[in-house]
Amino acid sequence: MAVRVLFCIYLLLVYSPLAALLAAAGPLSLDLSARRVALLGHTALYAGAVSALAVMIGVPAATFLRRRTRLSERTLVTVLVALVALPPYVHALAWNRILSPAAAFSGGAPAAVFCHAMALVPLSVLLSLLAFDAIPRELMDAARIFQSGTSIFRRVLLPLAWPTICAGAAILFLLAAVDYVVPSLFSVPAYSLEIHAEFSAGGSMAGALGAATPVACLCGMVLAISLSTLRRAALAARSGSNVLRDCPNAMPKYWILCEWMAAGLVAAHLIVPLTVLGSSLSAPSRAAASVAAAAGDLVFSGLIAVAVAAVGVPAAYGMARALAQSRRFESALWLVALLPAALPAPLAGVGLIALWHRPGIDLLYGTPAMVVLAALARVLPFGALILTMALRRTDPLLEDAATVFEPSRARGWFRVRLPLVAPALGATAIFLAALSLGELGATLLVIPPGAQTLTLRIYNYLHYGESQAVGGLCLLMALLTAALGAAASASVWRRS
Amino acid sequence: MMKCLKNMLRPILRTLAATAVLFFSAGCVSQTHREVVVYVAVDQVHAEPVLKSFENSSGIRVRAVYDVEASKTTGLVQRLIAEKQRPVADVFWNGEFVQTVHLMRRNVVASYAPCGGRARVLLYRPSAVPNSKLPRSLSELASTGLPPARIGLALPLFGSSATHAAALYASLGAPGARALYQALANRGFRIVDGNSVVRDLVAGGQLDLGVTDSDDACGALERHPELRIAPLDDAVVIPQTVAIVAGAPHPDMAGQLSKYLTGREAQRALMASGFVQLLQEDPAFRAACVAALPVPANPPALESVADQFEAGQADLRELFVRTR
Repeated sequence: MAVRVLFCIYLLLVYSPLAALLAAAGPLSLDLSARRVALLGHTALYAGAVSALAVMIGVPAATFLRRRTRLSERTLVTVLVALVALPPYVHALAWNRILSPAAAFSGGAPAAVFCHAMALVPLSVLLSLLAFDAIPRELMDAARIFQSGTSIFRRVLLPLAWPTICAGAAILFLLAAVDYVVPSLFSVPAYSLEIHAEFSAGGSMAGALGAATPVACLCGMVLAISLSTLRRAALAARSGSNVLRDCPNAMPKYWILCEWMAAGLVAAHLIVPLTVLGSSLSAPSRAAASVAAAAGDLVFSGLIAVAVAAVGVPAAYGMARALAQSRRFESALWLVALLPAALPAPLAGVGLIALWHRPGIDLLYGTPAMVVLAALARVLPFGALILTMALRRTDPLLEDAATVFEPSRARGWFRVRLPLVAPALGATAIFLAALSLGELGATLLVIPPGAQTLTLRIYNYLHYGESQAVGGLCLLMALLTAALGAAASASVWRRS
Repeated sequence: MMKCLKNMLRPILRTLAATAVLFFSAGCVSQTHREVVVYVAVDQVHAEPVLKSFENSSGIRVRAVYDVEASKTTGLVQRLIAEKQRPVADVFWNGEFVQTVHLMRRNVVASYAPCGGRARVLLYRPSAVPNSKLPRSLSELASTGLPPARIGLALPLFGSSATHAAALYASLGAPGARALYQALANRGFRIVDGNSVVRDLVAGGQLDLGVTDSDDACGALERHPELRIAPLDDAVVIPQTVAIVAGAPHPDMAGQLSKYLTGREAQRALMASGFVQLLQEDPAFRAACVAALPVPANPPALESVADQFEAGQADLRELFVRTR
């Protein structure tokens, strides 16, 4: 019953802005001109290329981190999530500055694909780690009896991890398809720009929603195509361990080469933005002044992130349980869970205003709660997906035993289920908090006057060209996310 | 185990309770103070000190929402439209005028006043662009012999670039303006997200020449003295506009803020910080970096520029938001 309530809360948080928007917008105007169709196709190719490149880097990087480093899961998650929180635009700008002297990277699709993929690499590595960590040791041990050397990797490890890797690729596709800021930096046309242009020119919600419908359908198609892998990822074997570390000879030579190249790129991903941001701190006093001026924004952003995690994790759990246990209408449920992520952020913000700025129910309007609601509407689909995959690591036999032997459901929940799922909940909380820190489009529409998030301030300074301030604030953002991650993981992993 | 869980839950519940108190009280406290709410589509780094100065001199607390270039002013404009039935903002301070005129026509704002503005200019590297090859207008730019990949323009769909395009539609007529932008779109110039990106690419050496706003150009000159600014004959002065929202919750204080922002003290402060470079009606009121530039003569009226905006945007989307 409680899980059903949480499921309904998920639907309310994610779909209520869209419902209010549809009610306020009136009849949609769909305009599928040849130009828009060509643009949509171009966006699909672009997003596919970004996703594919990010996966090609993320998967070998994940196997490298597991096989050749002694970094704990807690450390890896904390560092990777801290990088996820940095706006992709900051990554893209940093890479653009480094690479632009080379003619091939001064602009155009190849440069855009590379820089955008590099911005998404931390997420790709995170998802790939989830994929390999879910492989049960028993299967690995059995494979070592019957297979040897590189066959284990090609015929056992990779196929078992493949569903989750594909699910991750679908998420990366979605993120790349709805972003226009990074492609615009390299003069690459993106369909999302068309939506903003439509919104800006006419101010019509119906027109903007109509313009957004094709890209939402595109993302829906990609999710539908990857649904089989998403389901397999969710329903795959449940317990896992670091099987990669025990197979030092399991990798083909070409894969070892890929691992080292990917590791180099991930290291570059860490070094490039930090170096560019750090070099912009040539005037430390200016950076320090901007950080001091942003102290209030830092506290506000931190509180928002904590609230998003606190409210979002239970809601995501409700949807994750439904996804893991559904037998009827599975495909529809997956689409329901994930499709709202394709809605442009400003439209979600307008929907929230239409929903909450009414006489009699405007208790929340004008308060920071609106920023929490905006962030939840945007990040919950990703949280549900991450939690669904993370919950695979819990042993269902223990849950069944709790159902049988515990005298009450509540005791069974607190004594068995909650400790079992705590690591998964903790990882999702960190992820939701990190994503909410970077939310911009919907936040701008609903932020209370007088308040500001760190991301809003960073984008403002980016525009002004205050690179010292941007450097200081971005490093502050990364530290905040790392601190949130470390605090949550210290609490969760110690008790798991 | 129960004790461990309680230990884990206790701090979480405390944090949630404090957060809930903070969130729900934030909307209540403000009602008892003298305050004015302003939506600001002017760079925060310029606007914030001016608003602080108003706070200190008037004793009225200013609660601001700042736009970001990534939202192209669409964010705040859409917020004002969505809140029209029950306005939250008292004043809309916009760095350009087209969206303000549109809001006026939709009865979202009750009145507005233009004030100090910026001009559209060329920012270039004299080491790469000799004077003899420097284009003097967008028309000359469309036929320049300079390498197109080294020339940058902001997408003429948002902000001051869109306003510039609308002004050209007003002065050249739709067929002439469309032909001009078609030529610009087909030349292979680097079309980027915004004026600040043009500035950064010219300053960083990735471009030799770019069309941008005078505030971006003057800011680049401060950090990179090797750069130069040149006028455009078909440029336009883009004034800010300060509008009072229709049905503003604090109309008296909105009036005070509006008067302050359009007054000489605020405009001088904005000029000193680098956002404003000139006043159309006072040629003597100019920033040093544009002192030598001619003021565009016979500029089109703000309303007639705003009239051309939507039609022009439909053309420009066809030309610039497409695969190549």
